[in-house]
Amino acid sequence: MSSPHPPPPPPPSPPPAPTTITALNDDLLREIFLRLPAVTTLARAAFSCRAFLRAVRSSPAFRELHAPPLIAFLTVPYMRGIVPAAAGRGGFQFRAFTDLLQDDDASEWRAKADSHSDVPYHDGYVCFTNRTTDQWADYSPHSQALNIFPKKPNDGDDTCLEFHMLSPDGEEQRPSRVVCVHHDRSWLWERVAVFSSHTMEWQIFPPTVTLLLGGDRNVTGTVVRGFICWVHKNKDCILALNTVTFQFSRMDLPPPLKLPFSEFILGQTKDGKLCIVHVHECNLSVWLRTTDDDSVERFMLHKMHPLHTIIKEVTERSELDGVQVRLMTVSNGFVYLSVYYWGPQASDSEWFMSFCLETAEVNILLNEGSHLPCPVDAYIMTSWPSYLIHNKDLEHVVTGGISEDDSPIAIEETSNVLFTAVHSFKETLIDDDNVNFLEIDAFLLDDEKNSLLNTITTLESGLANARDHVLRISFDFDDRKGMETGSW
Amino acid sequence: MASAGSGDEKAAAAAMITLISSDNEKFEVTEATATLSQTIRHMIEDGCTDGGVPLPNVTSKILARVIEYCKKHATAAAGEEGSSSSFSDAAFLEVDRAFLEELEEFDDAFLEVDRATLFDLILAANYLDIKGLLNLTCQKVADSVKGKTPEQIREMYNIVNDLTPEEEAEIRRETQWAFE
Repeated sequence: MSSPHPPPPPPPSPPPAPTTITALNDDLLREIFLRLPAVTTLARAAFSCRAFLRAVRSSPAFRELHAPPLIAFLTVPYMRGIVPAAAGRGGFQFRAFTDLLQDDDASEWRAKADSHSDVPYHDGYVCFTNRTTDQWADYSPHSQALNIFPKKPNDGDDTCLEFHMLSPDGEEQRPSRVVCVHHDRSWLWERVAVFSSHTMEWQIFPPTVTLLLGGDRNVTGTVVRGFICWVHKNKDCILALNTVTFQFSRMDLPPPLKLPFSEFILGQTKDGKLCIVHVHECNLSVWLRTTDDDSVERFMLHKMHPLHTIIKEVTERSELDGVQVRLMTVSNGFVYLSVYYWGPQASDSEWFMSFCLETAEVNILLNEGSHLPCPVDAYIMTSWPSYLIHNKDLEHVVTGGISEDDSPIAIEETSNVLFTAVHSFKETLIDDDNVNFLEIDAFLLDDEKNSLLNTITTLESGLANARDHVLRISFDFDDRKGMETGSW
Repeated sequence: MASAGSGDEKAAAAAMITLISSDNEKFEVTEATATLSQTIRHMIEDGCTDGGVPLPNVTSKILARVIEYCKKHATAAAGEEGSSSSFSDAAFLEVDRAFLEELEEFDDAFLEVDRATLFDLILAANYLDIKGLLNLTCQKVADSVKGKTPEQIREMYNIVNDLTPEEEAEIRRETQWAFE
């Protein structure tokens, strides 16, 4: 057949090459990565190639959507680790954490009970004592906070130096800083000094007016955005140090929380507002620090979340008699808590979960086959791998990151700033006639092997190893789940 | 007012829109189907759909699939509107659930495509701004990445590792757990 038909259409262009993942721009890659379930899977995807890494780093959205991963629960008093990912595999107490507080004969400092305190690990702090001088210090691996008690106990001088890390604030263009609050143990007076990692110098503020007479001896500071807070339950208040102005203020607790045994925790919401989380009779209430109608700043009830239904669902019990809710911590808008039964209805199990303050979404972290009779701290991966978060130009960070100061391990970085600050603190205050801090020498023995900071470094690296080990276990766990749901 | 409103809706439901793929194929779809795409919805609102909507970024093969998705989900949306009226007894809920299950099955089957098509669908969903489709396709890719090592991900998607050995060593130093 000769073709009398209309002229043929222009020859079709050769079939285009099949579309590959490289066709997706950063926005679309981010859409995909946002849907990954955990930081572990996100990290693996990010490290596949430069484009993926750039996409992951350019967005904080993943971190806003996902509860910071819980690595382990550390039990008081011996810092034994309980690892959700290892549950059901005989992993009740996890080896990687158990040796962390073992006495290291090589060091003057040991994490061991002394006459002053019966527990080497308490409230998230490891307590170190000096064999020779009997001085002691507390260090929190969660927040890199360091409390130093330079005088021997029972000397009558209960001086305490608290060092708190403030992370860099990109918005306000502030570098990492270390705040030192110097006070006596009954809070009759206090002084503040601030170290900036930018200038590498301490700025010492004049002594401030006493806001609290006879506060709690044993409160430790909590760092939230904009404040360092000390909860003084015997005064029904929170002493807050503003980390912009470095002025102290006194915040009254809301009346329902002034009851003697009320349990609550301090934290911050995702948008950085100071909040108090309180549980009473299966109701979780959230109090935000906001300005009321009369422009007075105070804690106001923001939301009340009834937990009854959630608890019944999670525990598969219809009764709520004897139910106990234990609050652990608030991190980045997520509350970590656990539920168990007490009394005649006592349960064998304890259920650990995270609760999102914004969406009220609950995520089961662990159903431990037995109730843990001791307090536990949630060991949360608060500092994300710096390779996943730097918001700078990739070329600059990845290539430049090989140099020392740009992106070392996040924890290392903070410890380094802390250590630099503590060292420099000594020199600064020796020059200050008003204060004699020569005692601090003992904490910074030039003999490196014996210094407190060296002991802390050892602890940190032990924790980092344990953390890596546990994250690897979580990966295996994710993999197994991946197999079950099937994939390509 | 009420009757005028429903009249408009009927008119809208009947109105047809012509979509033109990059290879010049024409697809006639109802406005309800087309407006699942925010991009097209805006064009309709601006009154610039006469003579067809050219979609130079979407081939006929992919556009056909996108339309298939939109048709199904437009019906679903219409169904939901119906049930959200005063009727809410058990029978209606039952119907709803059955319908949702059917929709889920449809989505699963819809995703049984090769990778190139999946990426084309993502690009089209993004270009046409169809939230549901973008969510569905991105989730599929995310699921495929889940639980894989960087090496496995590269292999699966033919990605060239363009990180230098030094950079990789540096990343490994920090996050060894991500590699093993």
